[in-house]
Amino acid sequence: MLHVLRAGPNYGFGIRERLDQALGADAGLVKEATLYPLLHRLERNGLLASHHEPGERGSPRKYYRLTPEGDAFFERRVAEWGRVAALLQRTVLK
Amino acid sequence: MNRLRRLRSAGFSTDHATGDARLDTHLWALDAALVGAAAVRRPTVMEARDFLLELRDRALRAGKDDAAAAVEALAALGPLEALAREQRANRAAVFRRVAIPAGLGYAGLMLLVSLLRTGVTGADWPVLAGVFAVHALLFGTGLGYWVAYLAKQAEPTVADAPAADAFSVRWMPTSAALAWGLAAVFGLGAGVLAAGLAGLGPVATWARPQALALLLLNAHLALGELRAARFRARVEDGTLYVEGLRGQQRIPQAAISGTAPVSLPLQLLLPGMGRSYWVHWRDERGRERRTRVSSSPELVHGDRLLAWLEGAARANRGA
Repeated sequence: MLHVLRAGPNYGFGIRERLDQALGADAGLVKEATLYPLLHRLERNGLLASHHEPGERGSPRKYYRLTPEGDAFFERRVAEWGRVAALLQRTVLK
Repeated sequence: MNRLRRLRSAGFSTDHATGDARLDTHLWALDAALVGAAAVRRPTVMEARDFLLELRDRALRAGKDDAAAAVEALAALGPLEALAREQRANRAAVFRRVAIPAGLGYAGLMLLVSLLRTGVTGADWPVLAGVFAVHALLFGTGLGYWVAYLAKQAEPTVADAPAADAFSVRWMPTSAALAWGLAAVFGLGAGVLAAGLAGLGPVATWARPQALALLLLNAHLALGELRAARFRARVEDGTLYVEGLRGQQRIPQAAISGTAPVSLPLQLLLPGMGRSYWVHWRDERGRERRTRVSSSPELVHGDRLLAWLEGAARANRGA
């Protein structure tokens, strides 16, 4: 989700579509995580910020964007996962 | 306690309705599990509603029937309780963020005014401590409750954004009227206190340090409300125009280098209403400038302005 928002601000359904495209057959994983509670939690923790723009359906649409803290958190976690993946490749998966 | 936070309205707002009974039942249940007044619950319900409608439409376009499309949309939204729990946690966090500094700030100010009247040695400290606790609790809880569970967030309309890259920032009419009203009240207070210091009127007998402190406080608050009432901004053709007490300022998008929230102590010292941000930019001569802009939920497009400024700064850093 943070990776999707690195490309620019997006709203709930737009994020969901981008995730579906990126995850392909694994898109169902997001349903278990539940999109909005996760977005709201990330926002409460300062990793995302949001703003409203007029929506096509008449009600304002809420756009989420990555904060500098969110960007740093994403980079840190990717580096950590990268180290774990490299370790698995060298040991379990070799 | 839950009843105080839930503030049930008589019925489910009709503009939430989707026309599909399955989706509406779900949205009604979501609304019932949220906290706050209808205006506070509305953004969460509308966000879920638009998501359900967009997913349902996508499923219909993919050839599914109404029932299957609704089931798919509801499954994708996830459990209601998870969504409601996050809304309740978010509102509680807002309450704490407002109530604690506001309560302590107000009680501290009132303590200072009391000490100016009695002096430190003549003060009845147990009584002052009790008064401090009551002020902190009442003002902090009241303001926190208002912001977290009652206050309506400004909703942008198409009229405020005539084009994709153009929008105007303005106060909701009720907030603008409140700012003008408070500016008048505090201005009047400052006038009465100034007259008192000159030996005239009902406060002429007050201790001078106390009257002077209250005069400065009233003048500060009046100026803050006046500044808030006059604040307007608009983004047009890649340029930000900010209107304030000192006229209009023009900030080209390409000149913006960053934004930063004004620190809490400085926010208390500088006249203004609600949260504010510094916009750092360079003028035509290359000089570093900074402009303070308001960002409050009561400003229509206030949050969008901040997003636009952050985007401009990021783009300029990358350029």
